Amino acid sequence: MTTYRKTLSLGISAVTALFLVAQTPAADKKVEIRAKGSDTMVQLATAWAEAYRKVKPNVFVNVNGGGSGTGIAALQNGSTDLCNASREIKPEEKEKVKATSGKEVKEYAVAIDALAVYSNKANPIKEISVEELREIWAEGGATTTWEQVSPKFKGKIALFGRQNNSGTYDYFREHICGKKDGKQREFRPGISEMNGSADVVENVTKTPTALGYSGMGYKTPDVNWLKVSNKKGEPAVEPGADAARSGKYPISRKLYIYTAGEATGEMKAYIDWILSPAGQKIVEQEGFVPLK
Amino acid sequence: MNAATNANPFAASEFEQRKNRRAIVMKWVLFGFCAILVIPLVGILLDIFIKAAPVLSFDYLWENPVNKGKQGGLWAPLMGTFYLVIGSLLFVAPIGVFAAVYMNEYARDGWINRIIGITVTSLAGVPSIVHGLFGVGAFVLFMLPAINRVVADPNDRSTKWEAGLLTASLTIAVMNLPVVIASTREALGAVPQAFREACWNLGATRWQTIRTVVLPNSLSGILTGIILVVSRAAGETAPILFTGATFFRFVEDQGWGKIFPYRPAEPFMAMSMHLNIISNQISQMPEKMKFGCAAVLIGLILFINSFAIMLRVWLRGRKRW
Amino acid sequence: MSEKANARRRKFQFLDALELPTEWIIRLCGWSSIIGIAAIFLFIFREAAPMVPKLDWIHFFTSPRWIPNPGTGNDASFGALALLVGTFTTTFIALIISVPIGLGAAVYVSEFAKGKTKETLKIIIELLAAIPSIVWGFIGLMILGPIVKWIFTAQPDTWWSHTMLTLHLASADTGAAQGTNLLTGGIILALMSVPLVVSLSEDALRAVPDSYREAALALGANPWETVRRVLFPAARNGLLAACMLGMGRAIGETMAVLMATGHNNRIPAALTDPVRTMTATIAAEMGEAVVDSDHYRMLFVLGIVLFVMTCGINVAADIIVKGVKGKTK
Repeated sequence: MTTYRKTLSLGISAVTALFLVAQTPAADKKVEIRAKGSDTMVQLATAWAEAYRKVKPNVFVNVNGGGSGTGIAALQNGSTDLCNASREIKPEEKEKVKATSGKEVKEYAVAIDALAVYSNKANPIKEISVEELREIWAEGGATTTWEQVSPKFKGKIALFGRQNNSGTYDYFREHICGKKDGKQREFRPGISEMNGSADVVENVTKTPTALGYSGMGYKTPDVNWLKVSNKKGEPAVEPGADAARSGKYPISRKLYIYTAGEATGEMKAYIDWILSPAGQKIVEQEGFVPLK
Repeated sequence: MNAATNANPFAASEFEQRKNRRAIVMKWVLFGFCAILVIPLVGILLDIFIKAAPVLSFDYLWENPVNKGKQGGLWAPLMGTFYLVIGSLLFVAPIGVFAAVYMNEYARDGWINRIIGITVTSLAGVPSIVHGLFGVGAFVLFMLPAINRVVADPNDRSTKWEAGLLTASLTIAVMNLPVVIASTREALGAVPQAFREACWNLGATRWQTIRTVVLPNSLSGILTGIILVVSRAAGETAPILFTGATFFRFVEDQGWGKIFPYRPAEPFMAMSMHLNIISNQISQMPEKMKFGCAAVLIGLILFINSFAIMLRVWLRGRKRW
Repeated sequence: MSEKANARRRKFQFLDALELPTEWIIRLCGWSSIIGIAAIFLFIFREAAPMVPKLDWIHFFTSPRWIPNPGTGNDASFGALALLVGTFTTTFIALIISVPIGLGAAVYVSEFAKGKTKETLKIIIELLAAIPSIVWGFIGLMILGPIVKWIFTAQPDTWWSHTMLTLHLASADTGAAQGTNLLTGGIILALMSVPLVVSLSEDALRAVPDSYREAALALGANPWETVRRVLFPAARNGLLAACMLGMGRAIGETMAVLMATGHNNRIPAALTDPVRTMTATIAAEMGEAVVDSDHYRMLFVLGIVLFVMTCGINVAADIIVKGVKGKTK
């Protein structure tokens, strides 16, 4: 063989060898935990994952969004260890997990979230009631312009919500749209379905006549949120840690992590860390409400 | 009489002068159309690079994204795109070139050629999201479980193959197949038939002719097609959305893990996916980071394409016929 | 012939022994694109198939209610009318912008431009074609969107707001609420499909024999007249195919419309209303849909509809250019 061919084949085999060597697992046992589910929780979960690496450098937590529904489905077919969910798991979903994995679903409440109703900085209206929200958001509702809510602001209400497999979408629909003739009311047509909680807030920030719902952890200084009361005329409550915890704020919920069966080993350590003051501090930093 | 003999018989009549003026007007209108195309483009590119300027630096390319992309650099997505491109080239280059060889050398002027031509055009026109759906249906949901049944140990999760570089490369390969076939075919067609006839006259078989004369002489066109494929693979998002790209993945900050961060069977980060997510899904993302990612991606694509154009011009200059 | 070249050639001679298997591989690869198209159809249909018998096609094509995840106790409704309207309106706007500009630019580059200008324009258009769709979406979201919004914003009761309302340029008297809407999406799609239209039209114009141009010149036509009266009719098929392929590209575009049209599933009432196309719906909802659920299969059904549409357009364009019998040039 000529020297040219020799060096070329040597070079190629060297690179291939290096590539293959890099595939062997690391010296210290690398542990991977998969977390999947709620888009509301995806930034919180990523913050937890990044902080936990400083606590235990060999534990890698891979975080994916996809909505609470996708996370629960992943739990059902075994493709995830932890399911982040911004709504409670339904009984039929629990059954399905038990059927496919043989284990009971274990629920860990890890944070509290208040669903804030965001409005643009140009909007002078400061409070709203659940009744009025119902007429704005539900199918067949009567309110389409800001003048109908209050004479202080004019314009057609531009509505921003979440995509339809989101736990947040589900929760808001159940608690705000309410029921009509015994059946759950759907959202009205014409709501922009944004992918992700941050997207909703960004659009409300850019659109003067906007109204949107998203987790309270996504508030920025460039956007307002409305105080919410149960009925028109009652005192309106601002989203906040105590209001959410005590239930005074009408649209507050718990954020959950679900596992198939009792968590063991590294997973249990991770969940315990999340529930510890260190993990709850991150909850507060991300703008959600810690459990205590 | 004087006026008649002094008049220039070839001068344009009133009617013709009007038509000529209209022709000149139309020429400038059409130039205006070109300008409408070019000027906003240049303006947009300038805007992006100006807004990205505070961020662009060598460190920006060398560091990993930190804090969900709000700080740090673009190394992990760049590496992912790089490996995706290489992976898809491994599949598409041989198949595409051989398919064009078949169409041009073996099956000329037949009904099969026409059918293959139609399928190549149809394949080229398939929307990118449909390629993504195909990737999910064929590779993630059909090929991976089949591989896992053979290779994976149900009790050890780390041996399970997931949607990642392999499935995404295959999907992008299928998407780029028509481009390689079309450009290779053009390149092969440009080789004069006289070359082939001369070879056959000397007693060479068809395959010998192809590998000694036809392929080497059409190398410029083939390379151009392959470089186009590189730029498409680097820029596409929809096919890799569900077949392996992920937004967030831990990548080593130094050592071998930094150069070879991804294995073929696990999810990877990619530039296009990164831009997609940081544009509107992360709250309080600084504008300059968004524009920085867009600028790097555009810069990469334009660089690859300019390289292809220069290569094409240079190789065409070297042609000996 | 040098010794070195001979030696190199001898080394590769082992490939000749592999001629038969190599030819079989080449034959197989030749069929690759047929296998590819068939596989695409097969696998998408495989995922969508369980839904097809359950699907009410009339409801699918006529109802704008797209509610895949209904509240407890309600039925899911898969009405894709709003999505179809979204796709077609964005494509329509893209076409009315890109066809004149594309054809005009192609005519200018191929007939009027000379030398350096021609080369530069061709390179710029090629680079325009290379920009990936996600970047176009980014441009629509971050740069074009605010511009469109600024143009279409008005205080209520001004002449501009009245004009906007009467001309259906905006559906509220304060103007466009969002920057990401039908108009922005249409403009971005136009910018994306123009390079395709330009390059294919240029090919079509170049394919017209020079003898036509020379004959027109001999009869005293000026350049514009040559184009209008001789070249356009002669290249008619090719130009039509170019426009159809541009339309196919606009219909199939995903990421750009995902980011630039706003995510609003309704039939637009005005030019600056946000809409959603079929492609954007698949891209946005696929990550959220639970595998093997009805919603998931419906997304594959949307994929089939898209696939059939774009394939149809491509085959039609191919037939227009080459004729039904298939005269390969």
